[in-house]
Amino acid sequence: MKPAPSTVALAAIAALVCGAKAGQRVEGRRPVYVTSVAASLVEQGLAALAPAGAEAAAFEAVPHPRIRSVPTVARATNVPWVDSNGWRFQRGIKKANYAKLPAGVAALAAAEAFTFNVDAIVDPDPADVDELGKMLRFLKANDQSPLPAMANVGVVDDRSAAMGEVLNMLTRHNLLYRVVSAPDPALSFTVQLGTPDFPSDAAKNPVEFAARVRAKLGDDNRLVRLYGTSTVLARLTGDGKRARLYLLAFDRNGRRQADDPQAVRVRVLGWYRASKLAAYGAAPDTAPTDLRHIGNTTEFWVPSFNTITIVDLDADASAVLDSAYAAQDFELEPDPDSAEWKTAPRVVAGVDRSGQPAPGPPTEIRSRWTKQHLYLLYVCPYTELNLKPNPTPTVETPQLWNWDVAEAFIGSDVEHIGRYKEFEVSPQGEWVDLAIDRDDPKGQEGMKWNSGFTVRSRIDARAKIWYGVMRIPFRSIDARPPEAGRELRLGLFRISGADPRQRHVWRPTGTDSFHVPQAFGTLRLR
Amino acid sequence: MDRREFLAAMAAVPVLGVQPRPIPDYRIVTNYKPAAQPGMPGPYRGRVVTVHSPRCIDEVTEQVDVPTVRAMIARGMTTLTGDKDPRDSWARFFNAQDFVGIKVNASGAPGAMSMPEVVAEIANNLIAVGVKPTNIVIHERGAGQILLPHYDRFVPAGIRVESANTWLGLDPDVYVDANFFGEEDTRSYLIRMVTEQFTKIVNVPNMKDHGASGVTGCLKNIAYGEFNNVARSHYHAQTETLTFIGTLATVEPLRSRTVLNIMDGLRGVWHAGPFSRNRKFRFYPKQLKFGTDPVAIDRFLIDIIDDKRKKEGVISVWNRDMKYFSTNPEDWDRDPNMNRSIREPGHIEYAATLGLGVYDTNQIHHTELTI
Repeated sequence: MKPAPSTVALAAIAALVCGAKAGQRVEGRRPVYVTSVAASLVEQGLAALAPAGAEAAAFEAVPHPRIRSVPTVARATNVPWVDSNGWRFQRGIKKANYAKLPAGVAALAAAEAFTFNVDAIVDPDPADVDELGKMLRFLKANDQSPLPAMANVGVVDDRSAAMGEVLNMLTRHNLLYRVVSAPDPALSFTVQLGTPDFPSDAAKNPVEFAARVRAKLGDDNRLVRLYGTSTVLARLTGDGKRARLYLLAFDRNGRRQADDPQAVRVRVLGWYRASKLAAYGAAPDTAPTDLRHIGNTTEFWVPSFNTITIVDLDADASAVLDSAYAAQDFELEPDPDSAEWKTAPRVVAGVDRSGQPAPGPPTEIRSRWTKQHLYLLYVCPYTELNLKPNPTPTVETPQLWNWDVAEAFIGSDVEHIGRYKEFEVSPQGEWVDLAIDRDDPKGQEGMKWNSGFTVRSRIDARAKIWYGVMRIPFRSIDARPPEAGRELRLGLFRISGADPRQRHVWRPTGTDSFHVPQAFGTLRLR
Repeated sequence: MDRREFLAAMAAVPVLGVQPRPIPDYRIVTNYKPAAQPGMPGPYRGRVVTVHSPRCIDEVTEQVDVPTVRAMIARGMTTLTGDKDPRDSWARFFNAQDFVGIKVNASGAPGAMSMPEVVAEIANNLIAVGVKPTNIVIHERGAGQILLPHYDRFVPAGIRVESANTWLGLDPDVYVDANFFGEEDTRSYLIRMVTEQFTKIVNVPNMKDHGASGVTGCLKNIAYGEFNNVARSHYHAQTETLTFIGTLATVEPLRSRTVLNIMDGLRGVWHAGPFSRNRKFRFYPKQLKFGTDPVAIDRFLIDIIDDKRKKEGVISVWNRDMKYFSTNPEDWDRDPNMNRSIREPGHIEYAATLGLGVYDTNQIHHTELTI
């Protein structure tokens, strides 16, 4: 790579100071390139000098991010017009050139590129160099290996201008999407022009089109919701164990004036704890507040911030059931005090589907595993049993869930979390196993599928506790042989009583159904 | 009449012009249960006491006569409760264990506001029945306007003047979620003072026209004044104020804890409310209204504002004709025959369908006194 003649001297300085040449990535973080006006930032090791020639040409010019107030029918809208390049980056631009930036936007441009993980040349107004330096220092301090982008829906991009504006509106409304070449069953649905749900004419009004996508998805299913703002864009990345949320503020050129500890209420699908909050312009000890787990979501306040906030989230440890290894398979004995079960790791299903405490003592679930099988033991205190008359435990019992029953939903396909297996055992030793495919309900095997799992149950009428134990062949739930450290997706549930009919849940689903794989926890073999 | 029938009935009235919008899909989230007898409509459902006094305010200087206000409040409270001693009247609502929020309205200050002299007299009566001054908080949702009336200069030491911006903020667990116009920010949170501090609330609105809701009285003051993100209901020509105001007022614990309404009608605004940038739209009803039923009090407010408008020869707050609508806010600010939104004074009758009080004047026991 060759630096531009006009920047040779500065490149040499940069090479002396930080060992970088023009156009070369600064080690350890994604590159931000600056033009000569910000050479001081190169000297400080915060940026690399902008490339030239063919390499520079690979950087596509993008407009500067900004916010505008556009009048509507009644008055100037309260929802300003946000001009973000997020949709261009989602569409495929990986190298962006923010050329000839007006004063006041260089830091926002750098933050935008960082948020969407693109290489960028930032050509700041001279007045912005100090602020840009502060921003680059902040971004450098909070850089990490990028996590996969999380999305609710897929969009087949026909590269038309109309679709470009649709992508813009989806970005603008924080409807998280991924550009795909074909429908991806791992996503809730795919937006494709010319399909019944998304006729081509609909794209003529991108705002209404985005509303159509939003309505089809349903606000409750959105990966991220933001309350308290209409000028912050969200990008969520994650790998199932942890997530990183980027919040990009466009208001007042990215500057929030008020010192408000409750500036934005964030709702993220899934159970997380916030391990870190880094807010540009805020005190180092700034933290999210009023964190709540509601249904299958996590909510918290983010205080007022300037331009960008990064929230690191860890999957809640309470969402993990460890399974203890046993060298040999053992008899199915529904006895929690037996040698196999006495010290086994356990979790409880003590809430209802919405996360409110369920009446009575919680249901306890313990787990062990061997090279061949996964074992689950349910300890189920009860008030009254709701038992199926004339039980037939020697054969599979359809619709066993209409009676007292303990259930396990287990999935191994993290790319298609809607595919999992369902196992049930009743107090009378009845059982049912099903193969579920939420992405293809008509095609799923359902009850035709047979896992070969075995169960035993015992009712202690004096203590009013029933016990159920399952032995599940690993080959029925995972194509891979089991090994320590392996993680599977797990939902644990129980239904008890007849009037009222009570649901006992480990991880609240937030809806009437247990079949919400986004709310599943993790089974970890140890 | 239920809510659906109410809207159907409104749509059937031919003079209304622009039809009401369908009821939004409101989702109320709260863990608070209603009190055995919620504060609204409270023990005096369908009962309003109005005390007039020509001496209560000087129309030229806008100086308030404190002794007169004191007497008006005493007469109003005793007439409402039937007690001889005002302290007995106040003791029906408040005691030494209470932490009381006085919900004022300062959104048009200094030209229009809950008068500091009225608020101070309310505070004095609370203290007289044992409420500690440190357990009295004069408050508004927003920080900006509540400082303008300088309530702190009128009330005994210890009483605080706060907003959600300065104290406790919003309660993340109590909100109303509704998507009105496709906005992303669909939640309106109740302020935390109401949920975590106040055991009782005295609601002290003043008498104002409102460009979106028609009038702004007890219901709107307690609803839009205690929840955030409410202006989204009236950013468009046709608003959602018809149903949003009453819906917010029903949310617990706000409904149960708002035990007394005293409407300050010493001074009012008959056009361009809730603000009062132009003094020519101010007027002087010279009265205070007392009750626990916010619907009944607000029902009379409609007439007070509309009668004044008729007297001034301008369109009614009920007028829904789009020929009086302008997209230019300055038109509305200047011309009382222009609307900035389709006014929804029907929000008061709608609140009655939610059980918040009595709307039919034939069923309201209204006592009017002059001192």
